[in-house]
Amino acid sequence: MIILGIALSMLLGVSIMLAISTKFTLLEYLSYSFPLGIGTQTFLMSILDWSNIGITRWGITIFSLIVIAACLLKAFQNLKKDPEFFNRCSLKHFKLPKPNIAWILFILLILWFEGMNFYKTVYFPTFDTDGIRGFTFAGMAIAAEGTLKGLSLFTSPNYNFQGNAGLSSYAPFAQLAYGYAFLFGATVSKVVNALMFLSLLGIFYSLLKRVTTHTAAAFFTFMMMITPEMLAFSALSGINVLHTVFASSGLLLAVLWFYKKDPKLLILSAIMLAINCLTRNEGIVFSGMASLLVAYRFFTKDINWKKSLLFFVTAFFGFIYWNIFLKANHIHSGSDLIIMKLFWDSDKIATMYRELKPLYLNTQYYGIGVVTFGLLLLLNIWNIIRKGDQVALIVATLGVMILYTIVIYQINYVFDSIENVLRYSYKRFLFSFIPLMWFYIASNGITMWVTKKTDNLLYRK
Amino acid sequence: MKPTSAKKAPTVKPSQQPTPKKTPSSGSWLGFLFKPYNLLFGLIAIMFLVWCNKNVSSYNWVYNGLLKDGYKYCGDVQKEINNRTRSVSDPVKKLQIAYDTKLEAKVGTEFMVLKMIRDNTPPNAIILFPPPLVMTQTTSYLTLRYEITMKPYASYFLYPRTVVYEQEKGKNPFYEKAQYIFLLHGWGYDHLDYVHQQQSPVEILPLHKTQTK
Repeated sequence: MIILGIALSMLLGVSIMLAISTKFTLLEYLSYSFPLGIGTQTFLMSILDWSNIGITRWGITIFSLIVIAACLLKAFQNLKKDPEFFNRCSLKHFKLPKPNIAWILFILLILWFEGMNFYKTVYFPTFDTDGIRGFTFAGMAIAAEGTLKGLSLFTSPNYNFQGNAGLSSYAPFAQLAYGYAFLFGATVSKVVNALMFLSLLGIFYSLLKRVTTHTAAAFFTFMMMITPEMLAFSALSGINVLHTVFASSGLLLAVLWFYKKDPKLLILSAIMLAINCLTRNEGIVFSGMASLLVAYRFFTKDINWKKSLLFFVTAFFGFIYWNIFLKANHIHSGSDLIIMKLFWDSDKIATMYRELKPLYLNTQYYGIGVVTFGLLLLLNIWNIIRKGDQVALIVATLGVMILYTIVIYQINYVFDSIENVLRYSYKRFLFSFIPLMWFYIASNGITMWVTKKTDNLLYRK
Repeated sequence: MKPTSAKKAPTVKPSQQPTPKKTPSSGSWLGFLFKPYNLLFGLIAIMFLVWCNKNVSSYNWVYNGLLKDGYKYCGDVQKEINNRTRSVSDPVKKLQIAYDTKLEAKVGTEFMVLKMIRDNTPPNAIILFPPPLVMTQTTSYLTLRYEITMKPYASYFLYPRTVVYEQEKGKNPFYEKAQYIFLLHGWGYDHLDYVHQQQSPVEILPLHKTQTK
């Protein structure tokens, strides 16, 4: 039954992609299908709940089939304009990239490592404390009770899950996605986490393929994948890796659109960012940064105001929707956590500096990624200043880091110490910067020069 | 990109192009793989991986600890599941044993204690738990981690049963409705309205005499 549930979500994801455009690659259709599908499913589940129909397997199936039909209607219009689509997608025309030993080696390593990781993720039920007492527990209760707004964990006097840093202060993606898995008969909700991490690898490889060679794409996807702390967490039920999938791909798509001005990338970016805001409230940081890139292109008259406005609304949609949902259903989400006015606290800043410096430079957690990113930024400084090499990507990457650090600074630490939040929460939130950093490492001027030279030598006649 | 139509048409008469000779490597995967630069970059890639494995300890841990050992551990747990389910024919029971064995392996003692409570209470039970100091008491026979003192943690394994803690007396309306009690390290026998003869350090019992058979 869970296979049917996964297939339904992937079908929903593919139909959304086809409704956007028929010009994506096969790998892109496959890689985005699950994150897009399950993200949309969680949104549909919340609508079913809000409209008092209830979250049931049949309700979800019928509702998603209606949405799939609507998307396919738009897809057929797109297909009429692109008669070559089926030719491109047929197995007869499927071609592997020109092989070389390095590409084969890294692709095999990705498959091997991910094979082991996927297996051990779906093998064990949730065993991490955050998953047990939070996301998976809520998912299990949603599947059993068929509701989110009336969930016993929120409404029963036996539980105190509403309020500052309580379960209700978390955006609902993970809880609903796990609920979806349980509703479709899964014994282990981590099938969601396993498929999301697998999708991240496909998404990252296909994003890199848009800017660099397939050999470099395989190498840098492998390097991103083996980021120790992130890979370890991908097998747990926490939401940080799920957030990483939506946040990093949404922002990277916006960066790619910034350079290539391909509208399908912008639409996909907006939807990924919308789901990102349903995954974590801090997701607005990524939507904000992508919106800045769109605003810049609006001022350079590369995009009209209607499309820009549509992007802003979509990119923040998850956040807006979830807050209206909470208000309308009288669920207190711990909004007192954020201090809304700006203030200066030198002790807090000193603490943050003291905690964050070793964190960023910690190769135990992040491998060589952060250090290499920093080094390449320094080495590339000439290219950045003179040629504006990857400025949008650098601004986006550093921008989200700074904005997120400001969010951490603005938190009123009544529920935990700032040191704990920085050591444990920030450590995990840093995952969403990792694909951005590796994307810069792969696509900056120096690396691109080396990559092209390598490819010339590899394929020289 | 400049449009191709803008280019000046060639004036020279196009000579007949010789048909390209098929070299052994063109179009063939294997032939291409043994080209010198290909071998060189393959070697560089392998050297880089060896360097990473030797010099960045966390990458070594990723392969040996996280993935290889993690994968092997799944195999060990599966062997134990196979042993435990050898004589079981009911597929639902088999699934339950497999699920419990995996959680025993990962969560440990806390799960085993909660499983004992789960197996001895009906799904609608309201269960009274000891206060945190009793729960985390270190003894020779049992030591539980502090996580079990968190209501959502214990509730996850016991859902849809309701968990109430001793310290919630007077604050939680479910306290008065409790039907079962988790007796631990001698705590809780005074809550029973009947005398229980054989006392055990870890036990789950009905609170009221009317519930006992």
